[in-house]
Amino acid sequence: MSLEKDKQFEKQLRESRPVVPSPALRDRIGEAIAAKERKQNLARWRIISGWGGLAVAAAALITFGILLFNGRLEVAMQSQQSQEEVSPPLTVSNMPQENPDAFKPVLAENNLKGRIDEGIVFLDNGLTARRYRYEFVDRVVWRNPADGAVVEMEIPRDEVVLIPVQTF
Amino acid sequence: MEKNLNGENWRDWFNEWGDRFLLFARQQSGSFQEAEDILQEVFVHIWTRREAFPRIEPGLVFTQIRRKAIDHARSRKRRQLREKAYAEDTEPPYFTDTAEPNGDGMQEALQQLPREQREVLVLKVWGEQTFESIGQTLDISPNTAASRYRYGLEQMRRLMKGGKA
Repeated sequence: MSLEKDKQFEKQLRESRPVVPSPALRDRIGEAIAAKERKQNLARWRIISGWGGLAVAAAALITFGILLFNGRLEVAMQSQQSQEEVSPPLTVSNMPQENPDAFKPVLAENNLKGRIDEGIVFLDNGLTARRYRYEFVDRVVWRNPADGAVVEMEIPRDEVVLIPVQTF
Repeated sequence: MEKNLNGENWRDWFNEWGDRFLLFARQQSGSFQEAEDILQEVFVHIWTRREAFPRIEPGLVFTQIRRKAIDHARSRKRRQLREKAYAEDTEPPYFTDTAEPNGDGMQEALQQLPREQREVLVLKVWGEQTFESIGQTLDISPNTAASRYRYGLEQMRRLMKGGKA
């Protein structure tokens, strides 16, 4: 069969057009695509709203925590200031109703007082190291917002740090 | 031929290529109804995942039709016997245009071809695919596709002249 004959026969075949799909099928496809896209959009929205809701809840919790923390300090400071400024005479009627033992922590800090280089030391495992001693004073303060009473505690503390060194 | 699939243009695609897609789906399926179902599933599959296919071309659709037809074939056997007789009586013809002198015998001739030759012939003649694209669609080499095409064309001509496959 020659190439020319093939091409002619091909052309002859091609002249017959395949049956066109029915409009009903086109409509069915359109509906199916729309339905599936709706489903996908809904699923996408659920995912977004789920994570979004979680993020909003987390943000709200953090904000609430910050506000609460700041608010407590503010209340304590305002209470102290107002007592210092006004300091009305203490009578039975204006006696603070709070528990007198209701001290609240207002300060906690670690103060580094100094560092001492204790030189090269030989460890039990045969290694050598340089030893530093860090001297701290940890300070904690409690205040009773009702009467302004303050309790302070200072704890001296040492930290020893060994830094391996190579000797020759 | 390539087109971007976006917006509402699946309808343009369907109008332009639907007849060829349907003809190929009919070669791959057991009935006209099943071919329509396959075509619907393929369009929905490609359309709703169009982000994964930035450029859609007919070869991709032909490939998806074949894969979907294989899935259908697994469940088809169970209902094939009870549907076969009914389907043969009610199925529409493959072609609309019978002006060509041998047009009436074209469908019969096509149906008598071995499946391997028939699907290559449909993809080449009406699907306007290259042998390379046909090879990708049918998981065969382009040379095999070309060879099957030549045999198919020869058989087809003989059958339309009144011979036997």
